Amino acid sequence: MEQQLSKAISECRQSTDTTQRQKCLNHLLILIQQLPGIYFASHQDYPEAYNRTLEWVCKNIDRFEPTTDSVSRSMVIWINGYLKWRIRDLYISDNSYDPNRVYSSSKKDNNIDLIETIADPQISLSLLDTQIEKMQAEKEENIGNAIANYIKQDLGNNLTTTHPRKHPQCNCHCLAQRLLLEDPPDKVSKIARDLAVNNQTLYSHWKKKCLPLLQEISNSINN
Amino acid sequence: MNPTQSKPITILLDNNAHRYAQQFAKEQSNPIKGKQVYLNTLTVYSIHTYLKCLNINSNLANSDCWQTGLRAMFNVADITLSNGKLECLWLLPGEETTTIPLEIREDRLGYIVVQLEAELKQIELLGFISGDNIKFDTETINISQLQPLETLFDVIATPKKTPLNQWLNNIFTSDWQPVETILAGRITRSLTTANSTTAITRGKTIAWQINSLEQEIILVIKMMPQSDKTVDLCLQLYPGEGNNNLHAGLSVSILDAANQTCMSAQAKDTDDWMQLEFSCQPKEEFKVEMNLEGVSIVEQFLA
Repeated sequence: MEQQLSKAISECRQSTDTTQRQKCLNHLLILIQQLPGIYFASHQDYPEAYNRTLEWVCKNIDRFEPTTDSVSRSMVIWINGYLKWRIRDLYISDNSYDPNRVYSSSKKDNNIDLIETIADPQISLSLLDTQIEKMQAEKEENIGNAIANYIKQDLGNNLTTTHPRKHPQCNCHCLAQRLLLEDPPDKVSKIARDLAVNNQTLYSHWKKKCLPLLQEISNSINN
Repeated sequence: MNPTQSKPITILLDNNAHRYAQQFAKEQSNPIKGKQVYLNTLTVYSIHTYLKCLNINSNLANSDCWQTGLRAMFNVADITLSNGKLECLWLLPGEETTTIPLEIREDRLGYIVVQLEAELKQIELLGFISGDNIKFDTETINISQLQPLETLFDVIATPKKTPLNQWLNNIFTSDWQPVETILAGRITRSLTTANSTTAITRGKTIAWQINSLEQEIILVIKMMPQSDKTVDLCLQLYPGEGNNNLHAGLSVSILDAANQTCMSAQAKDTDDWMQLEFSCQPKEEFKVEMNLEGVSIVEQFLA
């Protein structure tokens, strides 16, 4: 490990080419994550502190100087110095999130700070379905429903009338239902067989005509 | 360095990732779609975090999965980079194969595959598969097909194709300047002669860093649409500002989509310009490879 780490650090420092540096940093991250003794805290914001520390390490690797006779031990000390400071920072300013860290989810949500509006997550994979069901029930206006209904009903016949000239059955309404509403989606080969078109015709039509049309529809529902 | 045998990189799923995931999942019509969006969001956010570590700019605000309508409509987990989109695919614990939704096949730079764990506290970055390997009928990716994550960086570094067809609609990226600007006051050859009413000409500075010295040339493309929809192209190289001649030994080659060299030329001591002329079919792809002292720079085009 000592040797590998020293080599990785010097490769990162020497690389002038962007792609080469990215590869070196990637390798360095792999090695760093295997080092024993990286500080851990059970604070709910520890993951963010840890991720930020990885970013800091990559940015500052050129400034790393071993402080002991072991490169890996020095590296752990160096990393923990920053990580502990970040964690202390979290404990002190527990509720003072920086809203700039959050991207708006859509044009509509521009002025809403997500952090203010959502409770802390306590979700694991096994509880995910019930949790999501509960959350979805809370939300009155549901874009997902609006979109699913549009696809099902196709009131203006926009989707139904968009099809390859010789294959009216291979229309965007039929394809959107089978590819977007079914879970799991039907396979291209199965739909093509059912609709008596070849796979490539179906795919080209989907890609060139249906996807742009559906994008337009989703934007218009959202606005 | 042997990345194929190394442990995968782990990114911890922080509160921001879960909050976005909750917010986005809530908007969906049913729990199945909600779960898909939840896990897509976690995955995208953590890969965004990983790319940030490596100083790779990714733009979530411009990604489809960050648009309310698009993520409700499609199964998308994309990240927009400067030269295209990466797609993020996840595996549940114990899974070895992931399905590629039809809407994200073919037009992605590549696919990063991650492994989720039961507590949703972290993800492991398992590997990468380049977009070249995914065709419209590629339904799934198995982890045995994955390349080491570092192959991602070569794909990201691949230059964006310059869409010459958009030039006809007067759409240019900022690196392609009018000849009057980029070669201001210089003598140019045959750029303003026949076909000048329909021809479009633009130039771009190409720079090498060789032995800590910057070496520049100007690459000029003149395109002349023909009545049969083909496009005649005239490619010229001029010395960079302050130089009278091209660097001796500078070579230029035109490569087709299959990377076969179609034509090439090499500068001699006293050359102050070089030219190659050829024709393209609509939508034909080609590359211009310029080589100086063994260092190649490739520009890609879509006619």
